[in-house]
Amino acid sequence: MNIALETPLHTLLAELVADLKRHAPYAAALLTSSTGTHMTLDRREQSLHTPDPSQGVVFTVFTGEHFEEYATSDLAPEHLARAVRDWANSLALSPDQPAHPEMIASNSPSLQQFQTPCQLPLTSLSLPEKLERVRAVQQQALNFHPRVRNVNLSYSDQLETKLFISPSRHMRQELARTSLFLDIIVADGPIMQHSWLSKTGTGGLEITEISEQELAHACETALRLLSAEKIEPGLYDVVTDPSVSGTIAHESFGHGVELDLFPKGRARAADYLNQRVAAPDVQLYDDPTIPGAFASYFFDDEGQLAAPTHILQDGVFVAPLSDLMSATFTRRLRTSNGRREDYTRKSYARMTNTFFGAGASTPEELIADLEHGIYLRQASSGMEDPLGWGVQVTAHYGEEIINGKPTGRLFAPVGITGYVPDLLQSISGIGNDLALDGGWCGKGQKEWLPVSSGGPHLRLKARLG
Amino acid sequence: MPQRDQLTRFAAVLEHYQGFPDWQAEQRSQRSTQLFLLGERAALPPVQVETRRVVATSSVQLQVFNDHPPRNAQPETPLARGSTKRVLLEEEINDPTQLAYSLEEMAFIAGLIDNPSYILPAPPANGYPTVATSDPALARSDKARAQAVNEVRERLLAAIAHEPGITLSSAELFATSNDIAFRNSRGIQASRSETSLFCDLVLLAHAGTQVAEYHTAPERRRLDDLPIEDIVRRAASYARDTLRTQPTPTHAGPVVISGEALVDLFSPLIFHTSAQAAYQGISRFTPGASIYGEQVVTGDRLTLFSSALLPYGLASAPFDADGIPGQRVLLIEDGMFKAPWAEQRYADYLHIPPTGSFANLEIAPGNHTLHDLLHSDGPVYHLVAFAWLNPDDLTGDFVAEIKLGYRIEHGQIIPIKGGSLSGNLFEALAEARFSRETQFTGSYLGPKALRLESLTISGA
Repeated sequence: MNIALETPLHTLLAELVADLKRHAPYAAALLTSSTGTHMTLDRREQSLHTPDPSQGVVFTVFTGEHFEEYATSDLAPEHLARAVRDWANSLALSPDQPAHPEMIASNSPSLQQFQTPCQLPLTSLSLPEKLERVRAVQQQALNFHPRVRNVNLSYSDQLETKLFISPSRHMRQELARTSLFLDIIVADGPIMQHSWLSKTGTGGLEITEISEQELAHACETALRLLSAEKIEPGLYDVVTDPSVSGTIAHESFGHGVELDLFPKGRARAADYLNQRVAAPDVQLYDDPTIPGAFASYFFDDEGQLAAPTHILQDGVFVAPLSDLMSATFTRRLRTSNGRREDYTRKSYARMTNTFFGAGASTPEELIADLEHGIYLRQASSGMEDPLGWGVQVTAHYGEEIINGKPTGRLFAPVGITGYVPDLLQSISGIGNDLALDGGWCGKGQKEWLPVSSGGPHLRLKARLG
Repeated sequence: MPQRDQLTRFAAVLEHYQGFPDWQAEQRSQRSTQLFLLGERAALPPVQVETRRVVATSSVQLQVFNDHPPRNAQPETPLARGSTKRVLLEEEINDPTQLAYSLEEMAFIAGLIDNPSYILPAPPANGYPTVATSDPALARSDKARAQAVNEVRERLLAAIAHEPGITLSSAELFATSNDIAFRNSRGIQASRSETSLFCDLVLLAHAGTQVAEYHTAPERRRLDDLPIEDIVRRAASYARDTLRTQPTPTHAGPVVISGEALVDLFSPLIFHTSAQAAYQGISRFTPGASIYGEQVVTGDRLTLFSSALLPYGLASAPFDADGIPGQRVLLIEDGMFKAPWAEQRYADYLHIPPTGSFANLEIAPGNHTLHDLLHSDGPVYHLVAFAWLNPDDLTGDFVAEIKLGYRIEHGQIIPIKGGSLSGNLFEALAEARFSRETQFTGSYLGPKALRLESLTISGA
């Protein structure tokens, strides 16, 4: 469903928000809906579905002490008006309570509209054409080698519409988000391995184009992993590819600087504002405005216009990421990081596109400098520890490098653990490349959202196991 | 409109629709009361409530099927069956013109998919089993859920007040009630109600300027199964121990994993015992054969069930998403793979009986006490919390950062933190020993602890 402008529903939402605002220091509503396609293929079966449209609205009020929210999928005007008024009547609201400055700041009361630009719009191919396209990619991978046992392919495109209404802000955005993921499973007798290739971004079908070279590399990697060994635990000189660099960024000074953790006493970074926590050349950003990146948007789920945040500047922690709640309770600057999994979930301070800034060395120079080390590739997972400053990042595999050359030995999987400042202070080389990998991120192990993370190749010391 | 009435009217439309041979529809209505608490360290004292939320949703998901000649097929090739599913919006269901368009579109999309045919289930001859999944204290009303949440809050704060050196960081308390109604074109009409209580809890331990946290997120179907005081006591103990941890040394040898941390380790077993993995040719198990392959088994032989009948299990249900009756299914017995768990589709493909979706994980306990498992001539590591124990389902490989464990040697117990545990589940199981003590964690009933003899810890 497309949320049209100035519909009776839009008018009703504006009236309900205005009514709530008369009784509380702050009120807002977020209306969301989506359409799209989700396809999966493996060697023997297929599926083609429309994702849950998740159409619904969430109303937020601030009482002066805390937030209250009502979320519903029932958008029938008479039901909605009654339910919201009944809910508001059950609350102890007073308009005289203090509001956070961000709540009363005025952007523009007139409607602002935004739309993801697409080179190849999602509707430029019919469903049968999209299906044929992905079938061809899958078949190419299946035919790559007799040891390819299966290829699981997942394609999705989604057009998400969000309308935000507060007394001072009316904004609407249409976000097109597209992804293609191939998991290539190979077998040699009872030994099985896999490798994957993913393409993600905000934009149209152009995002999911895969070159023959990329597909061949993914298949060859899976085949090479059949003979991978377990790594000897220890401290290594390593070079990380952009996916591993990005996961380090995400788990260390991404989650660790989400401001909603500060009033909970869960972020050690709270004590390190304006202090050095990484090597002097290290820059770290969160930026929802990057064109085409998987987590880009125009405004967050609390109506804050998107803007980049420079988190680490020359190795110094300079700015956390905030949502409305955390900015209110800590009286700090609000950034555009208030995000919800969907309208039924609460908003938290969340990352968007998080990455290390690029440096001066080529990736080849960083690898050539390794006397005896590991080139870590293809991040598969990570986990944060914002208070203990531990970090867990798993690379799907690592390649042994001796005297700057790969020896052909592979290790899989390879886990990186360590103390965040040690890891970031050990960065001794920063590549001049920059790539972002899209994926999904939870808060703890829930509240899943599209994010991307990345950066250049990095050279550092890491404890592997 | 009451949900079952709406689904009944919708089903009446579908029964007369000629555009597809089969369909199934599920209506799900949810009410949830949610409370978010902030602890004492908040900058604006005294903040206790951060947010209160009420969530009310209802949706109808329809799956339609289309039988058609497959693409590029030879003559005489059996018909392919395609399907598609999506949530229909209320205005679509209530507007006949819009609904006709949506149904036609879904029939077309289903026609694009070429899967082998399978037959939807009919109403079971013996009806559906009775399974306890709903707590009246949570199902009754928004007011009842608010009362339950407030009760948990009071008990939580009281329990924390009894723990020296411990404060609340944050808590999220959700009381939720779901009503689910299911219909299909073969005549199944079924419904169930389920409730849940979720408590995301973070406690902080303090000693001078040092602070450490412990995070836990238990969820249960009923209030009586959420032992708040025990949860707080254990979380407080772990948070205090985290304050005095030493860096984990490198180690190769016996490791005991216990508590909630254990459950995630078993996910590759669920994957490889599925009919879907067998159908795709990537299951490592063969019915009637040992799950250990050629390995010499020196540990306890594994016995594993999928149970949809576990009282108040989070995955318990009288019927699954296709309307297959809930069952308790023996998948692995004394290390022998009996038969896969199979949804209707894969059961038909493999010509085996359907068991329904995987439900709660049940593992038979061993004969060893936890005390025995922790005994060793050399050092043994008892690990109770990981950053994320997330094994690769296909290979069974795992690497996980240790958030809290204990190094036990010569009667000394030293808390440790950092470093990583790595290994392969399928190799490690041959030497596994299970505790006699059991635990219920919502969707798992089984040993409280597992000892694996030859794992590697990469030191911090």
